[in-house]
Amino acid sequence: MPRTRRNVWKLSQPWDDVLLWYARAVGELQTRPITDPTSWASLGAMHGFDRGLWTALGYIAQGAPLPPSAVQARLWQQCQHQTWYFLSWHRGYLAAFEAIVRSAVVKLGGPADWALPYWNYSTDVQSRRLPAAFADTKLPDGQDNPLFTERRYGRGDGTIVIDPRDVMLTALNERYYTGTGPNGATGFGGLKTEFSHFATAGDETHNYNGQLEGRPHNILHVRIGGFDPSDSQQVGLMTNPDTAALDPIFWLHHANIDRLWKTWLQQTLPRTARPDQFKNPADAGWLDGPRDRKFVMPRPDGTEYTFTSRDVTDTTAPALDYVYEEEQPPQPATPVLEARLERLGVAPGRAAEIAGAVVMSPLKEPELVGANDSVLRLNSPDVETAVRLDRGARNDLLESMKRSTLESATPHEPDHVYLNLENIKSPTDAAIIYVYINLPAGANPDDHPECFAGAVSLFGARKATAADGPHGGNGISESLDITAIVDRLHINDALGPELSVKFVAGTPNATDKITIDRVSIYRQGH
Amino acid sequence: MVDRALLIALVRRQPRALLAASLFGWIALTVLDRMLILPAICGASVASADIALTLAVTPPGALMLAWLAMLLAMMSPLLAGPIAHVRLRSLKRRRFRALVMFLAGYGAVWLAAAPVLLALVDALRLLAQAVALPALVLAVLVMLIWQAAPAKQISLNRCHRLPRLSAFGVAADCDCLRYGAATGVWCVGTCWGFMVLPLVADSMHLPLMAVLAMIALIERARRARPARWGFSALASALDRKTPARAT
Repeated sequence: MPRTRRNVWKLSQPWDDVLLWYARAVGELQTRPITDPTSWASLGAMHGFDRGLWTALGYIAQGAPLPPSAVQARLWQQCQHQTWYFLSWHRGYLAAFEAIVRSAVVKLGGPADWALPYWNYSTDVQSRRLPAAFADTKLPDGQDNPLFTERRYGRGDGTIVIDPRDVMLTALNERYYTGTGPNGATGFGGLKTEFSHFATAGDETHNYNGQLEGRPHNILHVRIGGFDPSDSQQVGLMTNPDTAALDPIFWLHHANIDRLWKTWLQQTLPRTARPDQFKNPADAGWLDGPRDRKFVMPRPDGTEYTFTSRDVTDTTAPALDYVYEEEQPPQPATPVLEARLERLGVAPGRAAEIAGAVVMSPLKEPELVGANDSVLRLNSPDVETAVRLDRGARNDLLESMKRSTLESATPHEPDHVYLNLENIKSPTDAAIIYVYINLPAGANPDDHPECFAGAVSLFGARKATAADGPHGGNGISESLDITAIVDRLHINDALGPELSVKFVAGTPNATDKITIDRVSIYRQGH
Repeated sequence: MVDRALLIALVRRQPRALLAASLFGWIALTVLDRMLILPAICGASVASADIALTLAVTPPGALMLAWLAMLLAMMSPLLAGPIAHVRLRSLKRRRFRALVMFLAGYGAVWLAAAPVLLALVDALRLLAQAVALPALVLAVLVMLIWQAAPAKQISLNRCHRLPRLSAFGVAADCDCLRYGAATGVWCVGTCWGFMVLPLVADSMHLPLMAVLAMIALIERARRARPARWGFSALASALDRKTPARAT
């Protein structure tokens, strides 16, 4: 019988036994030296490590022994980001962590079936609050609470305020796991890469997040971690990938992301779906990769093992042995194509017929439709730029959405449209930006959800901006699917020669040094 | 000797057009070698006066042809990333033009570098005669010093840079030309130490070029890293694994 990972908000509040044992075990792991691979510090360093920063923050004492270089090279700095390994690596990481915590729980006299809870922040107002067990400074017995950290700044004063836009689950509608490449569809799970600790060997153009990684994963990291309002360079643990796993809430956040992966796999397949929709990759590169460095985890006894994506696809297999309390999609998936055809003006019955007749073929290479005219600096709370559309490319896009094209004898799926934010560079990770398309002048963005293109977090951007960092100074890029917005503009005859893109700061006082090399629109056909 | 698995993966990932261009370059180099045009540039076994004579009787066009063949053979695979950047970030109707501008900028820098590198090689030969050492030994020393220098890693890091490319008009042309030139500058900065070796080698210059091209391809594929004295770039090209940054 697999163990059940429970929703933290469905546990008794504030100190359910599951959380109390978690706190005690975390406290125990925190007493172990960093040279012990099962210590809190070493487990955190497996995600990311920066010796100078860790010393400054007091996580390692000046001159304290570290594990040998060979051990560091195997175990530390493994976290997979901007890659199709994002989900599988973090699942393996969580499983190793959970086994180590459970072993500590048992040693302390706790239950042998202890399982990591998850934080589902996408349901209601309460779900978006930080569970009290993480905000209290003391345990019920008056001892210091190991689940609390002062380096969790939230909005600045330690209060976590999550905006509904931060936790939207649009990623669950992405049909394909693997993205097609830069500029267009980045997939539910990310782009195909080699080992990618924030950058992959051989291709600097792959600096895009997969959809679930981008939203809500990256957003929540920054929303929870935040930064110290008296010194914006001091960011919360969760804000920086090199310290994120030192915050005990990290593991509940990632359990939720892992749960959403399972949820996505249970999306109902439309009648006409290609067999690879809402499925994990069948590519051996994903199943057995990466080729250039192994994923290595510690066992509770300190010995090491390696794993691949293939080993973690089934969470009920003996090696993992868990399920989530909620795995079903929050609402039945809309038959994506049928809904879109209706949106484009095709009568409902006819839309179903066409959707059934459409030739489902792989996405083609993304094609540039237009771009803004200069580097954009986000030096005020809202910044707007005009994206000029090329007449020929725009006509090709419109042609694919025309009713006559959609109702032709051999219909194809109309083009998808992406807003591409190329090479976002930032001296800080602690920023969230909300992006709107053609927001009416002077309008309150909250009143126009139909113009909302998505939220963007700069988690990882600081390192990616460094010229000698893994991204070679290119920053990070984001590709937001704005197909529904463009459909609406098209139907209303409002898709003119320009699109206006507005960037609204989601984190006040954190965006003024952020630049975006180019804001562009791409179309991607089938 | 080199990370064969990564090399195979990189070659497989190469666009066919670039592989074809590289192959064409190698064939051209072999032909030019047979026609004694290549040895006019590369030839340590010949006395300096003879090289001067060979250079004098070889038409400048033929020399340029040899240089271009060398660029095509060795550098085409290094340009997969930048070419993909130019192609995908340009409007479809402007892609050909954008690539031409990029290659013009890139090629111009390498052509401008040719006389400088040849003068350096000549100086090395003269120095070799003065200190009674083979020129190849001096060239290896120069190459190793450059490999260990932070400037080499800075050049490699800059090769990863993907600049903004304007979509429309003259701005788009200028951006592509500028990007080509910048890529050329950092490419020369990365590779000149390697290029000196075959330029002073005798009959082994073609195999030497092939090995160096493979090392350059792997070095280029590695992630950017902090620049400091040492052989980390070369070591990582020769090593099977990409270790995490040990601290």
